[in-house]
Amino acid sequence: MSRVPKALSPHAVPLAVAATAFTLAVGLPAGDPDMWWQLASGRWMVEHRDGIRVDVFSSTATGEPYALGEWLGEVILYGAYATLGWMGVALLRAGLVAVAAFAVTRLALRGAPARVAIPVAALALLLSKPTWTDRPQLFTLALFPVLLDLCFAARGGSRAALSALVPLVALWSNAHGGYALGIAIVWIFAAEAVVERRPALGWLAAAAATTLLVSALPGALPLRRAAAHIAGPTVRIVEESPIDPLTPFGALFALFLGAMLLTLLLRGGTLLHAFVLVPMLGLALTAQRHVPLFGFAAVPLLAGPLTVLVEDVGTTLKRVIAGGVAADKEAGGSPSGLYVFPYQPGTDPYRPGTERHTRSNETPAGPDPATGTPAGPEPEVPPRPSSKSSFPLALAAALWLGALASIATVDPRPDLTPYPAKAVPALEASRGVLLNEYDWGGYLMWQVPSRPVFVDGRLFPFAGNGVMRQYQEAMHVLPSWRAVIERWNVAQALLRPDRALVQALRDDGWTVGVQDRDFVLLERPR
Amino acid sequence: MTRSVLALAALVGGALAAGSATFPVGDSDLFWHLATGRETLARGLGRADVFSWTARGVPVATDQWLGQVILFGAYSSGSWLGVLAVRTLAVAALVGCVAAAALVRRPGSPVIAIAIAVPAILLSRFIWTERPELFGIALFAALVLLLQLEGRRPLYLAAALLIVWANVHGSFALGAVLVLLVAAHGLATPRADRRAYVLAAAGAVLSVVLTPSGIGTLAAPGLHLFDPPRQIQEWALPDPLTVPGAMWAILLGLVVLSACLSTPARTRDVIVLVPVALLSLLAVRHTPLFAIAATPYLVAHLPPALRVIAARFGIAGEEAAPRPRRVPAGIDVALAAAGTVLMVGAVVLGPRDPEESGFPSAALPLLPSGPGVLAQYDWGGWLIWRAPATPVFVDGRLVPYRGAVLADYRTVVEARPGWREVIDRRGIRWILVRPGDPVAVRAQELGWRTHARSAGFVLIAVSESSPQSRP
Repeated sequence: MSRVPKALSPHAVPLAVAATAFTLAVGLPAGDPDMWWQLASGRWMVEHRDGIRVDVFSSTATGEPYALGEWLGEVILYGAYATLGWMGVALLRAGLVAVAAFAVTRLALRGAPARVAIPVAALALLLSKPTWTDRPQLFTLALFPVLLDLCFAARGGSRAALSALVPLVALWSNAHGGYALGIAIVWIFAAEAVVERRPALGWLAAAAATTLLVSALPGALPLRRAAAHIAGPTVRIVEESPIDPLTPFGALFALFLGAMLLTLLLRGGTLLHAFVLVPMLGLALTAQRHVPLFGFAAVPLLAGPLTVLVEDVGTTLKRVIAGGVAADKEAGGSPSGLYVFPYQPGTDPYRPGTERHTRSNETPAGPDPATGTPAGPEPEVPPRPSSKSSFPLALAAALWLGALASIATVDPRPDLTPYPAKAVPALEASRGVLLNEYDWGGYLMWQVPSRPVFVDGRLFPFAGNGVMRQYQEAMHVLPSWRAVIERWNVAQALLRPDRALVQALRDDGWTVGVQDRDFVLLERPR
Repeated sequence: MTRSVLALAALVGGALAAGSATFPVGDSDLFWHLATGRETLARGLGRADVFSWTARGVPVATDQWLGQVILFGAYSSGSWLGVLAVRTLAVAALVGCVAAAALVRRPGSPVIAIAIAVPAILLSRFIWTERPELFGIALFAALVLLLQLEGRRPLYLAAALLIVWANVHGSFALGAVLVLLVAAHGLATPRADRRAYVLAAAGAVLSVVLTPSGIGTLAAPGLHLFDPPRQIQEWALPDPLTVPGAMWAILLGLVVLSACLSTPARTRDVIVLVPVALLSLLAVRHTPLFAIAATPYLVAHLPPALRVIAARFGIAGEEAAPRPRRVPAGIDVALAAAGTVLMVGAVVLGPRDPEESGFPSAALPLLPSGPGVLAQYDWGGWLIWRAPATPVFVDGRLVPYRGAVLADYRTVVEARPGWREVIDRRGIRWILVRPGDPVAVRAQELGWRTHARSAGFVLIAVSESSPQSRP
């Protein structure tokens, strides 16, 4: 085996999963409502060679200071578009999803053999699918599992991994506000090291360094605001509302949560499980856009116990069939092996000498539970290679060839069906304040830059100055709707046809400029 | 279950029920439940709507008939005080069962057990209302208690409880599923009392058929479960940024924490916890069920989990589960009596009139009899009771209105395009809504006549001569 394949061999399975994810992601249509304003922001910054510090896109918050801290993500996104058109956007998306898939699979392999790790990683990736959209959020999707993988490597003793955390967070903090979650994870690992009485100085230094560094970076969203936005959504838009288990995505989350509860209740966990899973679950319950990150965080922690659970269930079933199952016990282990050890501080499956979760009749490695004497330094426990044969690597290579070949079959043009594309000529030909649907604001910023928007998906500029509230009042024809229209001297309204405001404005004599099945452009009577 | 556990549970249940009795009755759904109970006692079980003018004759759910009869029986016996007494009794049963389920898992540490039960009790507070749902959740708490107990008698009781529950509220379906799972596990376990598990399973199966609608009794709960009306607050998704949602999320987090750091759960805990946890993701009104189901597990496993963390800081040593103390019988009797006295006293001194300030009482004399009135959804049940001569457009029963009626209701109240067409088509003559509702705003702007108005409602006469403007 030559040097390159030998170096890649341990990564064959993650590479294969990444290739599959790339193939799936590259073929997705662009068209997320927020993609447009991210592109428009990137275009503005590239054209002006400056960052955006005040609003330049709206008629309701123009000149007001705002910062989203995603300048790098927006510039990269626009750079991809400017270089290769929509294909560039598709390749950026697929590349970042592939990075996420690679890291998530590595995480899964840290706790389980490939036969369990691959399905668990695939399930987590499937859970993240709704966020495979062309926004800087993709950087969080990719960098969060990378950071987790580094954390586990560092926890195993890799100083290089620990050192890499700081530049990673620095990069991430300029690409997307989700970086705050990365810093929280580093602090969690630091806290776990402290509580477990393992060497914690490096962890504390890394956590402090990431926290201080992002505070010093001028382009990053301030940590306080990033954390506040993650913990408490500003306005209840769909992605920031709780997930509904009656949707396919929500059902998958429920399945994941059920598997997690089942596994932990029957198999137990570690302090790290508790420290990571409890806050991540809380976040996932708060807003559906955090659900994928919960899934990623759960992967390395669940894959191991799940492996043993699956094996034990298989063993138990065989015994049931043979008629020899042991009686259920309250706790503390059963002859079936289904019930296992209570958690013992300092022991977990990621430590050397503990190949996987210890069974009830095995002695776990770790410090002396009586004295709490810490164990020695922990060498890194790498993701386990799935096989000693060269088949996985060959498969990964074949999948990557297929992935690259699939690019040729992709139509990367964005899906414009949710947008009022047919209204664009009329909008370009007219003037005045435009009242538009929130979801269409970003599209209009990109497609009709000459017409400032009323609101758009950037949200922050409109949440603080009361514009979002006024927008809601107008849209739903609440008592002050007329005052809102007059205050902003709205000249045109681009709305969905089923809006109450459409009927109210038409009753007031507004005329229909352009109309389609999904939109209507109303114009104030002259 | 020991005498002391029963006595302490009676005290806790009685004390909190006494607190609940200081609040007047007046849930918006109480009134249509009372009206339905009255109809059932007067004319037999009603299987078709008789209260609305938009769904008259449409099949209605019968899954709560016994709960409705109990409520109306209490009302006819003791007026609103009778309803208050039934509600207080149900709260006492609910809280008492939650407390008992906690105490049986840690009889030697009653303070810790009750402290851990507090979140479940607080979360259940949101449904301490005069509805069969309260009876249902009290019966669920009783089932959770029975499932904590060893032996065959709790399984027999669970079977009997399910058969009664199936006639009180649709939530019995959850209980039936849990009992079937427990029975399946029991039957797969060697040396288990198979007869008891078979009887429990039989009770679960019979509960589904021994109702007036047979297996059809699952129709309404099934509809609500798989197609929940999200626009109604209690059917919204649980949101951890609200108080009840935060309590639910914290409890879920504590279960995960305990599972990570404590001994493995017993299978029966897992059988109850996992399905109820997943169910609780579906709607706010299911979150108390999870809190109740999680309490016994948390009582057994949370303290050891916290001790693991504390031990790393040298704060606590190994767990030494204290043995329950023997309490003289006189003290147990005194505790139970104190709970009972508190509860009865609070009911006797409780508010004798319902809370109706949220309803448009001043509009009652102006309401015409016969069809033609569209009123707020939340007020429909109240109008059924207070203005029986004026049939409603919609009300809290929901099931008869699913589809076209609810769609038309929303179109009108939200003043969506075509709202005036719906008014014409349906023959709506009067609109009774809140002043801030879009239809009230638009009607006023269009110059329609307002017959009565207050801070809480506006009664508008539909103008037939107003200009029609439709896209």
